[in-house]
Amino acid sequence: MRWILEALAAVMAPLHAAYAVESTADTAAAPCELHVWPSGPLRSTYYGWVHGGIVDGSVQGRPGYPKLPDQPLTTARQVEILHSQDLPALLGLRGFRTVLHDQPLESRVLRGTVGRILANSPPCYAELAIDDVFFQADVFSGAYLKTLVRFRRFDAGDTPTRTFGTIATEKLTQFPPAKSNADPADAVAELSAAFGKSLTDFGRMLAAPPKRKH
Amino acid sequence: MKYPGLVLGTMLLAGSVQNACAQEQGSAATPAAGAPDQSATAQQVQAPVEVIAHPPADVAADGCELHIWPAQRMTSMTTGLLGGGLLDAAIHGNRDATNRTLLASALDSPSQLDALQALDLRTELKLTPGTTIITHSQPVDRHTMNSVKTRRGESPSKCYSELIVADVFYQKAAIYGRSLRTLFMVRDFGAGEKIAFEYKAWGGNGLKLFPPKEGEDAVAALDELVSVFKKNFQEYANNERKAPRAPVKS
Repeated sequence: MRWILEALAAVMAPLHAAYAVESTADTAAAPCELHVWPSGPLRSTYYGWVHGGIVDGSVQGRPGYPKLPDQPLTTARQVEILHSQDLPALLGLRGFRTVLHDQPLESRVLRGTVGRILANSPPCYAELAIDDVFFQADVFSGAYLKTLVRFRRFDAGDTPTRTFGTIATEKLTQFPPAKSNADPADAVAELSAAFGKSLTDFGRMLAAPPKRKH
Repeated sequence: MKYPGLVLGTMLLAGSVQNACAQEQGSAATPAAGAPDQSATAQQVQAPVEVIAHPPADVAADGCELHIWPAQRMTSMTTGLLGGGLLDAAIHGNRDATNRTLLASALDSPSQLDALQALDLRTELKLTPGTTIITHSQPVDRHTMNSVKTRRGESPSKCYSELIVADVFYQKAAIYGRSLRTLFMVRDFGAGEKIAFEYKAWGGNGLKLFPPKEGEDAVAALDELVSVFKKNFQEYANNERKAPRAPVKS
């Protein structure tokens, strides 16, 4: 019995290690790193006929605001979705390895840090941070997932060579469920899919040439 | 003194815990002044509630306190040549909905509190140099803003005042252009439990970058909201300093 357990442990250990390496590094020898942070849990804005305007009214369960399933897009779920994407390819960062952090940055750190967020990062380094994820709904335009994403790239120095941040918009048709007692699985799946698509859209907007200033 | 250190009143209460406590207390539990609507189920409130004391850096604290709360309500109104109304609201509904979301992100509670603390609040509001500033991360419930007439902060300070950010309002009008307006309210209680002085007014300034266009870099436009928010407060404070210190009718 003991040798069976030892054999199992010997087989499982490298598998676990391989998963850990895969989750943080696509190519171990790559000198460039893309550090990725999720945001805090889903937030909300709503404007209805009678109620509206209170930020996070839906996620706090305020009367008169759309009811949401419990914890529909947590930080942990975002990490899973971020992990499932080929982020360097989406962002046009050839040869970068991804280091995915499991906790969000404080907004004051994310928005207020002038140089690199990670002081000991390699010279070739980029940051992708989900600033906020919002369920947005109003009586005129309907329901959307709005994802604010910020990107910065550094090449050797402490001053970013590229900064870009914008809001990605995904229409929601099933989220939140029309009836509060309905199975939220499909709605939550739609929200997750919309978050994944936000990342793709962000990559497309990052790659697009800057438009004329307004 | 109620706040004998740099960060004395830091409370990290998960919303679910807070809700559970309220339930344990049963129906006899009454919400604290200015606390969020207890009828809300708080099903997903995960943001920690922080109360942080910031004593003066250069002089000794003198026991005076200024408590600050950020805004909970963000609105956006775009009016075209129709001059407002339902049709105008429907035409610009999508844009206004996105603006509200951008406001809520750029001016989240930490950003509002940081922006105010970046200013010399003691001078702006003519407070004593030894005033301790106490920031509350959880906004005051907007519906209780005017109805609550007593101290919201649990403090026995003999020199107690409050600064509440009540509303953040983006407006675009066909003739006047784009602006960010902010409603602030200061209440001075002195040593008592009743309001000795109250001043509530808007500060407003124009915007050049906000709102960003779809798909374009939004960082500068979001930063502009914070800088104009500060200007709005300075405009408000300038008027507040000149306001007559007349007793408040209860």
